[in-house]
Amino acid sequence: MENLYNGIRLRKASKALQVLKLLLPFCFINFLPHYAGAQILNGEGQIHGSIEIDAQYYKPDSLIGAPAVPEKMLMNTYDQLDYTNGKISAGIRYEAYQDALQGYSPLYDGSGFPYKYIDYKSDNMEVTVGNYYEQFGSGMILRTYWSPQLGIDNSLNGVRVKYNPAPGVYLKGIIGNQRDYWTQGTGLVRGFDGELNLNQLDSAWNNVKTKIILGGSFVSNYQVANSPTYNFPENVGASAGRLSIINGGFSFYTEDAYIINEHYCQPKKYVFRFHRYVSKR
Amino acid sequence: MKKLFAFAPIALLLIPGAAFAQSLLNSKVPPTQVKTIDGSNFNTSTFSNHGKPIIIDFWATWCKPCIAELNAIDDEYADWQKETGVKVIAIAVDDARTMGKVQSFVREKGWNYDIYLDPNQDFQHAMEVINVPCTFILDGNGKIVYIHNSYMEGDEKGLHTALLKASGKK
Repeated sequence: MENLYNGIRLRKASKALQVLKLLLPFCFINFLPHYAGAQILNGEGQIHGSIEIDAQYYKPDSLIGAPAVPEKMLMNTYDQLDYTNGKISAGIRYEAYQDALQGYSPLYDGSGFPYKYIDYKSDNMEVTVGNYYEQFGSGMILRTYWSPQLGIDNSLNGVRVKYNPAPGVYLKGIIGNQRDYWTQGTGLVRGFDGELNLNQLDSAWNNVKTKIILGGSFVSNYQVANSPTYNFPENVGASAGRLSIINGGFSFYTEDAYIINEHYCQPKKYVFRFHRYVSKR
Repeated sequence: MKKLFAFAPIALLLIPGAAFAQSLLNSKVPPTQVKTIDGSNFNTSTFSNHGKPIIIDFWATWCKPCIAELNAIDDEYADWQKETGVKVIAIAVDDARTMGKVQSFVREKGWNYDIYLDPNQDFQHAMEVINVPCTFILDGNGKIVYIHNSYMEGDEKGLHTALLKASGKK
């Protein structure tokens, strides 16, 4: 406690400083995440964004096992800015970990623009270049997402095409390299997903109570094999097929995935995984 | 005195709302694809409540404050509907791994909200939501008039006040 006051000399004149003095004795001060943004109209285009700042001040406490943090205060900042104009949108995200909050990997320390994209969307097609997130089915063979609370961001940087050639038919193709903190992974990820929503294929089936969706996907990763010890396959692929049936309160989902050339040390050629749940009310 | 000024921005952050400004205010919901519970696509530009206000609430099954907020709203929902005719649209941002649990989760809680899924966070991004929970109020014309990020017990009272204002009752 004495160390906190050394170097900080509080004056009684200002009411704001009195408030600060009352709060200093807490073991750490967790600032509420703050959300700030702005909107500018520019003809038909719009620019909007948001900023979130999460900061924590730490005080060591052996009773509860709170460790000493050399920086005393840590802060994560996320700043997202997006421009939309008709069919075009583009955006950029700035992140700063100065330094990364406790619980986040120190590999995040620093700042930069890890996420940027341009997107074109028409009635039945969407093309994204830059960073994007994508998931196939239940995510067993491909799940890229951003979770700032967990410090997870495995966005793909490349090209994604989504195409809806006919009612109920949805196709996706992806290619990219994954984010790896402030660099990119060396693996080249390519994939394809097709989904059939049977109720949308024919207008006569739109109002049928039982909803059926079929899907299939394939993802591959190419990475140069440069291990001096093991003979890794350079191309590893995974495929999956899925089925969803929903009828009122009853839902059934199953997805089977199959891997070829997996990076296992044991001489296994393939792994079969099965995932199914049934929920009924 | 120099060191005191260094703490001034921190002091501001300590006061909830002091550094709070809004994004997307007075604009309509951006048209984005979300999924219905049965897996079909749904365009968010068609959210409507026949001239009455809408609350859009981003949540996830793994987000405890989100669930606390939706439970708190559920306790008042019938009264709020009588007062303003409001409709609550709850957007679950569970990703592909947990989105299958959303329907049974909602039924178990007994919520009567319109539930949509946003597993790839497209709508979440379009609405500039970085972390959940995040709550928006749309007035009768579909314009965003209120945004609130995070939830502490009692925040639903502020939401109710803003809802009354959005529906012209205050």
